[in-house]
Amino acid sequence: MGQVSRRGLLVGLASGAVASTFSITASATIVRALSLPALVQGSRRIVVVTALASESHFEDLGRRRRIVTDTRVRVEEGVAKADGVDSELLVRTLGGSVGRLGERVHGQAQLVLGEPCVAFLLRGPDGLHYFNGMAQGHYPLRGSGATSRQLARSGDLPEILDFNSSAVKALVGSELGSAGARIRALIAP
Amino acid sequence: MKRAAYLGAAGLLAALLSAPSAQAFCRTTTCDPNKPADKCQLDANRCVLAGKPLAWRSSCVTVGVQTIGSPKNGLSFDDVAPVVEQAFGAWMQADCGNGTPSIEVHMLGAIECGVSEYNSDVGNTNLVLFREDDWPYHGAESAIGLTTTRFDTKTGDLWDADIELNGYSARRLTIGDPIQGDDLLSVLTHEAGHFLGMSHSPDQTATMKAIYDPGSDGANFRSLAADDIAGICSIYPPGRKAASSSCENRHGFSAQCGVDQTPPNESKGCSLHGGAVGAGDTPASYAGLLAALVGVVGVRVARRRRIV
Repeated sequence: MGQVSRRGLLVGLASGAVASTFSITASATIVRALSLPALVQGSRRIVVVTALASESHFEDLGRRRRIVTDTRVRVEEGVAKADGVDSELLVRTLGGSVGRLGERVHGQAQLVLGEPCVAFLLRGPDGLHYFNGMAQGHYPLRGSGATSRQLARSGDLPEILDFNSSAVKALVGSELGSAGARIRALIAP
Repeated sequence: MKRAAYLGAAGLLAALLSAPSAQAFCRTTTCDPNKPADKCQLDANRCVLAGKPLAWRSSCVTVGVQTIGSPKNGLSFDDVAPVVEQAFGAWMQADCGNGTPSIEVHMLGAIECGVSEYNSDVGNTNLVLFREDDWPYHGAESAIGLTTTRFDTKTGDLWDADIELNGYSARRLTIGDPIQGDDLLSVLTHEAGHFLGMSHSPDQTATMKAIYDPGSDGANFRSLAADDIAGICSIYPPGRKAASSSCENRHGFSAQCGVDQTPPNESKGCSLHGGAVGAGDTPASYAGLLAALVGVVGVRVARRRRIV
């Protein structure tokens, strides 16, 4: 037992009796910048995907249950490291909601149904895919057409230390074609 | 009559202008941007517009620090606790013009439980902890700090908050030496803002901004900018009529993890019991009722230090 046991217990506990049972959680994150070479080299797949559907559930993470959201995405095109990639992937992000309880993580990639994005994906030991660097590996595409789509900043980018050296700074605002060429150039032949 | 209206309007304008004026800050809301189907609407500053803004409804909340501190960073509990106190103190001492924010954050002592969790039917604690044995979040290895808050989706009431610091895969965290590592006080001051309901700000001078360059920002996150002050004063305006003055955690306080607390169905007497958080969270009302019954006895909150 620590220095505090139950001593903080019990002032105004009556309020606990009437509190709602609906809850959700949120998180905030500070991350160190991933450079574009680090992001590219550390990713298993770099693809343009569109979110099709998602579901949330509990998983044991770090000895405690946390809510995760598995989103089924359709692979629209490969940018790099896409040889043999399936036409659909399952991408897991932290947070979501299950029944009356939810959990949200600031800094996570915010997948929006039907919205295409460039995804830098890792493959976890569970066989699922994860965004490399959370929102640092997620770039929604703005505009339309093969030559005019631009990479945008993910909706809930975490606090980034050393932003000037980050992949986010290097990629946001780039046209998809030129961004893809830069990414492929960083991959050793 | 018309003149009085003009004077009133002028007075209102003057009051608005004399208050902390920056309004770029964003508040965290109940809308879940990580859930694609929710399609949370964002404004031009990427603030979430939908949902109810989060806040501690009571005028008092507590926070503890894990007993072990951070051996990897060479920081003991006695090193870390004053930094946590200072980080929250920056927010509590914000000058709202007509007072300070109407919330008090009280420091608890050392907390034995070393995990971030929310127990739906036993005691909880708001905790600052270092994770040094693992960092179990795939793709998030570059994260330095992560704050998790739990809240009521119906009302936006904050119920629980933990700040996890990455002692496993992140760079060294230092106290008073932001050159040799990441500045613990800067990180904690930013995370304390999230703990209190703040989201990221597009204002590049704010402690709550999304981008921090140690090279140019140094230890600037340690103190609040006008935008941060406007945000905290908006959430907790001086004179706010809080729903309660209780410092009590939801389902009661416990320094122990949920698994170390006695579950309700194994109870021998009138106490709080528990288990890990579950999907339905329905035992909450049962535990809350027990808590209420015990609360009537009038047990006092033991030794706590006020941060301010």
